[in-house]
Amino acid sequence: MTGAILTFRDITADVDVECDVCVIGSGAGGAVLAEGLVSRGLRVIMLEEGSHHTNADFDLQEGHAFPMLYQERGGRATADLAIAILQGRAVGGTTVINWTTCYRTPDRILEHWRSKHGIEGLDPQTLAPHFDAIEQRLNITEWPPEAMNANNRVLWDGCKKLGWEVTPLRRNVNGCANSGYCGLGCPVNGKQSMLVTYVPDAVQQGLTLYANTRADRLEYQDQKIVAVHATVRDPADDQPNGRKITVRPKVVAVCGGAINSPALLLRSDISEGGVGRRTWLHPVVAIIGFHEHDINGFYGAPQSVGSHQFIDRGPDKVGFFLETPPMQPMLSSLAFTGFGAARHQVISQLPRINTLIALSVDGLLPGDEGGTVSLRSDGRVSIDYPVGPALQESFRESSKVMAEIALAAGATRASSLHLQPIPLKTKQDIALLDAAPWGALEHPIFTAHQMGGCTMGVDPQTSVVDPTLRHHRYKNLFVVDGSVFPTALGVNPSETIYGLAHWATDTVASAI
Amino acid sequence: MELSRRLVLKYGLAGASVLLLAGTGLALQGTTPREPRQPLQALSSQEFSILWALADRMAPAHENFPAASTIEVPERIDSFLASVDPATRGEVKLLLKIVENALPGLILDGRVRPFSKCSPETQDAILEGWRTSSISARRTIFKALNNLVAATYYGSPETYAAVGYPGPPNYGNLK
Repeated sequence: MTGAILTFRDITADVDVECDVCVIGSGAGGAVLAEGLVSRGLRVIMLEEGSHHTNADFDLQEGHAFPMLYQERGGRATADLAIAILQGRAVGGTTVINWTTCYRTPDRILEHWRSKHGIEGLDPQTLAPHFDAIEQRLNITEWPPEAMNANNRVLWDGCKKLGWEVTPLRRNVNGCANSGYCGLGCPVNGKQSMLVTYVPDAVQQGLTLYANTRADRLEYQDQKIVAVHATVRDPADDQPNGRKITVRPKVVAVCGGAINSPALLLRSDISEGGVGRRTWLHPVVAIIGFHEHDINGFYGAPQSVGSHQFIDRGPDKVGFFLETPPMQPMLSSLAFTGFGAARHQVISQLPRINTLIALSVDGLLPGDEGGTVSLRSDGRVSIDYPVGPALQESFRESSKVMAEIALAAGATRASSLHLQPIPLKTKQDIALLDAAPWGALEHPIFTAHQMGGCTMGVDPQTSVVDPTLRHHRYKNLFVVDGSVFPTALGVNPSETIYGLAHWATDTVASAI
Repeated sequence: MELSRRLVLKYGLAGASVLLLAGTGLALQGTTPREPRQPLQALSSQEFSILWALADRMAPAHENFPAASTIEVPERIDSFLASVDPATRGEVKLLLKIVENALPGLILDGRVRPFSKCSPETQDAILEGWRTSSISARRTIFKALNNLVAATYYGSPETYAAVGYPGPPNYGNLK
């Protein structure tokens, strides 16, 4: 029995339907879970608030792609606008716009979750067959070093010269054109996103997916979710178009990601255990380098090498890891400093600029509470993320390391992105960064990795779901996405979400 | 609304009231009018005119770069704002009035003319004051508007040549 993807155009009357499992969200968690459930013969309905786009829509113009494929038309950010939040919103979720870097969950993180958060049963051996299955379906393989672009070459060469660890990354691609446009929707379906893998696999086996459909509220009686209430949205303005969808499932799986999943629970008055608390962002700071030759960082696989040299800096410091971003002009302009002719002057050198990014690993230090997702009085989601001293130290030290890498790799000068950028021409200049201000609104901060907010744990007072991803109170409610992570990962999170969803499928299926 | 709460937190009630007067329209007069080249979808004609003045300083004509208004950045932002959450749209409209308004301008920047009536040099100095203000809420307001202009401007193919960006390839995938 083949299912279907239905959009706002197809949904011409209200829907009230029963099923085995209602999966809310079609990204890394929801798509893998739904495919596993339909392959077990279960009747699954998926709700996705974003639109259904295919590569026929992907013209690789940033001005089109961000409003089309990102949360809040590309404008999602913390409430003070200090941290820009890159998060997808489409059939396929963030996997449609992520940069394809895949890692298994690090052993040390699973061990931290066990020893500090009481998560038993999630160990490398248990997860291995699930990662194996995911890696096979998504063709997760190491990107050949000879295909790396010059922006990644700076990270590679700089680390090699400095004697620092650097490795080629593994990517979920098959027939990659090495275009560099992973963040704008893959034009050739080389990226093995959910849009071209698990979602169509699941539809083929009977999944009904309602796109442009936002789950507004879970209705519960006693300790059971009895209905999911959703509204169909007109993609032109994202407002309800009058059509309502009510799903009455035996089991609900919330898979909306680390911001929208807690928001849905909060809209449903399910807040116990700290829903929205302990939100992790892997906050990103960047350093740029100026070169005499072309880098053309807007072309070529955006992330193909990474360094974990500084992932563990001791028990009282925030660790960080180093990667690179795509460098098309719009995204670059949001990182570059200033306005007017001064900004024109910097961005006119874009072809000869490299950008390095450092991702700080939040959630591992004792007392680190991360950010908070809450609801505004007008219904919008609010994300607050205080940048404390430990993170500021990590921003400073990682920026010094990145400047050293850029200079070692041949940049004629590096620069910070502070309100008053600090030019760094020699290794000695790098000490200038010690005196610079670090933190919110002092320089750009980005996040492409949203985690936490519905954390798993053993104590219903301090966690939202148990270590099998089942809600502590509502026994037919599961959360299956990055929001369950008790901490950040120290690696790009997509494969951990795929693997967890694959692992959780049996538990969810057995809850029916 | 959310923004009001934040302004009160940052400025205290009296300061926030002055800023929010900007939203009443009472203190608004004399914005230099600009004519949109397509019907406005989100902004009032006055808000559009303020945005025009802002955009042309945030992204001015310079060497090979066209002025934001030359490539219809104000119109593109207006269309964009029609697609966002109504509360977000309302916040942007309020921010435009705050920047334009002479009254908070007088208190915070010591000026009495509306932003749109100031000389380009004065406009740049006002924006630099917001950008680097010691009050983080002013930096947030600057960033909101500056990002809107930058994203629209540098995301426009008309600016690619000046950036040195050859533009995206076409794989023949488009419908």
